[in-house]
Amino acid sequence: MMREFGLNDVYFLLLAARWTIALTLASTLIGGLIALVVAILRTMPFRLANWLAIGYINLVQGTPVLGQLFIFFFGFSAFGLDVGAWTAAVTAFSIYASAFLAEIWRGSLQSVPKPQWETSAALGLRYFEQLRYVVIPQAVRISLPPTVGFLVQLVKNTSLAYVIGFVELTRAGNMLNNATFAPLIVFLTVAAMYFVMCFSLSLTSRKLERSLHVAH
Amino acid sequence: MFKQITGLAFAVATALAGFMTPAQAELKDILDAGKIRIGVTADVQPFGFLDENNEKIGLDVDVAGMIAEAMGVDLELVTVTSANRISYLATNRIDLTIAAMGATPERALQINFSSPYSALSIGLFGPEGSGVDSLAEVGDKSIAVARGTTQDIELTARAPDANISRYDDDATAASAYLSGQDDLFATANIIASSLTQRDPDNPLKPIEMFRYSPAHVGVPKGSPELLQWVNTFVFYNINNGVLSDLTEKWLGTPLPENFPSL
Amino acid sequence: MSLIELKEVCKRFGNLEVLKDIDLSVDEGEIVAVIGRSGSGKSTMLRCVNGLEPVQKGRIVVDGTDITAPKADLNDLRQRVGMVFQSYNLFPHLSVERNVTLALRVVRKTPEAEARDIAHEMVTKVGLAEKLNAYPDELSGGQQQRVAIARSLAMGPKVMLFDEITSALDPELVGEVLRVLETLAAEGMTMILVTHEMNFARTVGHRVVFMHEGRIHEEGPARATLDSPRTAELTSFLDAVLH
Repeated sequence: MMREFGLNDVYFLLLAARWTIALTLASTLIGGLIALVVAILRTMPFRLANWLAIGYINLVQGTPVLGQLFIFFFGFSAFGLDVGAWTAAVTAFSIYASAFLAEIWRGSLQSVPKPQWETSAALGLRYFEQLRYVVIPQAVRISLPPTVGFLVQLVKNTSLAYVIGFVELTRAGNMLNNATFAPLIVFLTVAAMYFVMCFSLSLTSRKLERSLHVAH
Repeated sequence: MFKQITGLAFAVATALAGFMTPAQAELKDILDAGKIRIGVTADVQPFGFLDENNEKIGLDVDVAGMIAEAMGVDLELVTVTSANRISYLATNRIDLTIAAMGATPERALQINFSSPYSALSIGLFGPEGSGVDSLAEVGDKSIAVARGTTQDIELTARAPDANISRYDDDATAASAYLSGQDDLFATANIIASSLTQRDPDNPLKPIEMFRYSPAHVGVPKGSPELLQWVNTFVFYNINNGVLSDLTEKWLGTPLPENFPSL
Repeated sequence: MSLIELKEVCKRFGNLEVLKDIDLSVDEGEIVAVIGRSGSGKSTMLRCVNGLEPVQKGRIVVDGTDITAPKADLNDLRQRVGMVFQSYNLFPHLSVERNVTLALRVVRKTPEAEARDIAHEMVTKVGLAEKLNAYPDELSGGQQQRVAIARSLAMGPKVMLFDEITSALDPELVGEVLRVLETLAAEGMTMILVTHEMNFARTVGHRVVFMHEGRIHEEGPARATLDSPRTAELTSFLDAVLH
């Protein structure tokens, strides 16, 4: 009954790893866009916007991503809204990523020295022009290491999507373990794949950091 | 901690679904749609698991195929886990769940159970010469078991003070036992005999069999026609011996003469 | 009419009154040197003139625009008022050329080629034509400050505000920056400069304004006022900085 772990299974894990990558990418893109808006609302000189952003960040950071997965998957279907596992997972992880990235980027925006704002204001740039041409380009460099650090966490955290039946790398590993009862080889393979993903992220970040440094 | 959050979340999701009572698929809806969505596991040997080509196979997968064929509709297999199979059913993500599920009064508050379509034996196993001959002699030896399964429920009820280590699934529990993390292993007889086949030098010996554990089809609340149809299907296929043959194929022994029904 | 007009301007930071009833007018082409101890309100006054600091009371009219009016368009005003800071504040991620063209491109929507021509002209004017493609951290403090001046000049301002622009520089670098200011003076640029360089104020400035405890304590023609101060406070201040 219990079969051996074979080459087919490595292929199966690779296919599942695609979903880990897809989920991470989609959440980073959508979450990043939301995070940009939230980080700006959080830092702009307008109290109501600050409060809204703080409320959003606290709400999301204060609830487990697991709970968010459940809300989007089971909660919405209880209201007759049929959300697929992929949609629910992307939604939950985008929101999760948006709050953490917003907080990282807020810090980066605020670490750009205040005189940079003043000088660009004195040159006649409006708030969003100051942000876009002077502050954000400098904040990007500051934010790169912590952002990549978070993305490495995100890659691994996407495995939580298994609770709503989403088959990504960890879940696929679980399924193979229960077919082969060979946890060592199965999870070593799984770990190796996670390592390749996270390590290439770090490599890309280091390259990017260097190129940003050269260009100042 | 993590497991408690998961458990709580599933409970809330299921309760919410029960409270909202989303429109459940009745027999007529399935026939009209021409398709039935059945939840099966992909990580429970030998009921639903992956073969060499990583296709889902197993006793439950075969039963699901028989049901779709008997209804004359297309089959959509949805992968569920032991943890989420009830939530999936209660929130109308699937029409039936065939996931190696035992009936308990607690679970029956949330979903309905059909008559059992198959069964296996569950019990406590250990290595040769463990010095333990019954559950009463376990002492402080640690027992590996898959969390929330029928064997977990039975073990906890029979030996509430035992040193029980709960794992996500049978494979992980088996690894804990085989690696020496735990001294004994509560599981199904079919798992124990498969492990013995793989490594005959270290056989798993039965210490005490808890009981015969029938598996039931889960049917959503509020679908009496569907429940009646599934019961008729099970009755018919036990009577003609098909389900007994299927049980022999996957579990190694046929169903007994007087197989119980609900 | 004067180019800049401050009338009864009051400014508070919380409970701290930093400007008390300031009246000042600056004519076109005039060079006004503002001196005083630190904390006397000189920098704050300068920052009020281009709206970086809001005031609580009084009126400030610059080139016909009342910047204390509730709906004043500060961005429009700031294109006509250049400001250079003590700490240069070049944009570290942009080359010298991009530093100078940024506001032209973004605010004025000047075409790229034209903006570059202006940048060349301004950077040449401050004597740094060969540094056009350098980045700020490759320049000395004096060079950075000259680029900062070129950056402000590129917008074609009617008046330049200089806030202690030589204070952060090593002594040997002060001269090159002051020479740029002399060129501007010779061209007839209207300037208000907060400075500690008394000799420069005396030779280049037309008028000196001495600030003390948030008020304009004494003002008059540069040379005469610095040579023979009328108040005891200015006398003791000059004693302290000159000896």
